[in-house]
Amino acid sequence: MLKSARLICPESRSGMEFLAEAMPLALLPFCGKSLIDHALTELASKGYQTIQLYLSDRPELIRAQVLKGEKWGLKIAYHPTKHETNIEELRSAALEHGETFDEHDVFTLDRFPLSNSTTLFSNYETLFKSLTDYFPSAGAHQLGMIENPPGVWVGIGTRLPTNVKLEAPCWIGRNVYIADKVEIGPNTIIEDECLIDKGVKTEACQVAQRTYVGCETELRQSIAWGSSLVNWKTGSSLVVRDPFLLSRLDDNDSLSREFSPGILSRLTALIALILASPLALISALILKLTKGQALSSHVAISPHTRKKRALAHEFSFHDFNCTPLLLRRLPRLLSIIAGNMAWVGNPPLTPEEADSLETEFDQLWLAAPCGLVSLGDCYQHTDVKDLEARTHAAFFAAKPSRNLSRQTLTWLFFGSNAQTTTKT
Amino acid sequence: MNIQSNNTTLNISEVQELTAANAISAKSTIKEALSPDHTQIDIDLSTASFVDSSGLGVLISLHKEMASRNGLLRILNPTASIDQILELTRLHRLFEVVKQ
Repeated sequence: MLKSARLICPESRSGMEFLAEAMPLALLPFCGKSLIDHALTELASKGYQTIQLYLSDRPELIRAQVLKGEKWGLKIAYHPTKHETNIEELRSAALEHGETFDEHDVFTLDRFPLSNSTTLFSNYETLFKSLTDYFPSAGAHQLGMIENPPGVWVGIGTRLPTNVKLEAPCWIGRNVYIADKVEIGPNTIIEDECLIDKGVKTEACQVAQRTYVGCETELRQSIAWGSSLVNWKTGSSLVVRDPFLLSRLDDNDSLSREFSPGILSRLTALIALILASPLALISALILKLTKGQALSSHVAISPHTRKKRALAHEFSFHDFNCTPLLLRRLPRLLSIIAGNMAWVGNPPLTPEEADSLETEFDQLWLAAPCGLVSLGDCYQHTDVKDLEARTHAAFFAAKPSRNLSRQTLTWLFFGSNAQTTTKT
Repeated sequence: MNIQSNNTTLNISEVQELTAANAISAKSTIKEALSPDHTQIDIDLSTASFVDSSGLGVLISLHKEMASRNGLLRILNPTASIDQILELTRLHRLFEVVKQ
């Protein structure tokens, strides 16, 4: 019989919201691996073969990282739950289904390692202390980490100039770039792929993966996650607005990768605009003569995730003042060429409308690019107050597919005018 | 789609799909079957092959209807693909999802 464990992934804990906003706590990276990676390694080494994972916070992100568990030689079964489940709930569910239940095989991913008695997420101080207690033993089990001199762990691909001052114990992950005259003090953990610029001084701090620490910056008693900085001693936190001091290395890149239309889409929009320009000019002239104003201007907010809200920007776009949808949206081709819109996306929202999206489900609206046409258009539900509009937007953002985009575009060219006529 | 009333619970089963093609008719059929005594809807999606955005709209609408009468909507045994859609759209936090 396969040895099976139940692993409960934590939801956000009181006082830890600042970190939990960036990612589920189970995915927080420590010493080159995520917390869940450390836990599954530990469970595999204890002889467990199947793991029942109970997930309440952003399960899709955890599922995407853990997959089927082949990496650890484990078989993983996923159980998304509404809230963080507990041992009693698991016990009663097991009894209800006639399954065996042993509470020694139930672990909550808030300890490090799992058998530890101290919880990681009581406050930032316990989190940091647990980390510094753990990393000397973590190094011994990880490939590509070398201890030299004693108490100083350095990963492969890391640049360490000769004029850097290192004081044990400290951990410098893989592919870290350390510039000249850097002083890395005791109890510093610098995760993989960070860039530590000239003259930086650190002591008793953790610098998360792919973080840039700017010239002459001093970090003490802090946890730096991209541009977010938490003082683990006092629990105070702030977002550093100056990217030359502290920032996440790939924020701008990933934003443009996630949300900007590809070069092919932009090129197609340019060709479409050139071909449609005679029609656009005639329409503009007629609308100007009949209605006084050919275009209506709108302001929209660029798509963003909760985590990247600070990087969202406003942009303006125009529509023709007429009823047929295809003609009305013709000026939006300019926004596609400019990289602010996609051919198919979610309806653009004003910053005020974006602020009205409260739940995680509603906020998925902003996790897809603004579109010339949207899934909601096909069903004539595009008002942000409309529940069905929010459902279409969330569905499109959560499960984008070429097929869905193709169907929506087909509707724009062949169905929209028919529907507009019917409606009229 | 099979609808059966069991005291205060409305049991819906044999749902083949919940898409734009049948969402409006499914919603109106269920709402017609719903009496003021019903405080729970159990919708069995074990036989449903696909749910699209319109289908999710039906589920949310029923959830709102039940919430307005302090009731409950439960999704029973969703297939793996539907379970994934519920996860991706964060609706697993809104609905009671029961797997047996």
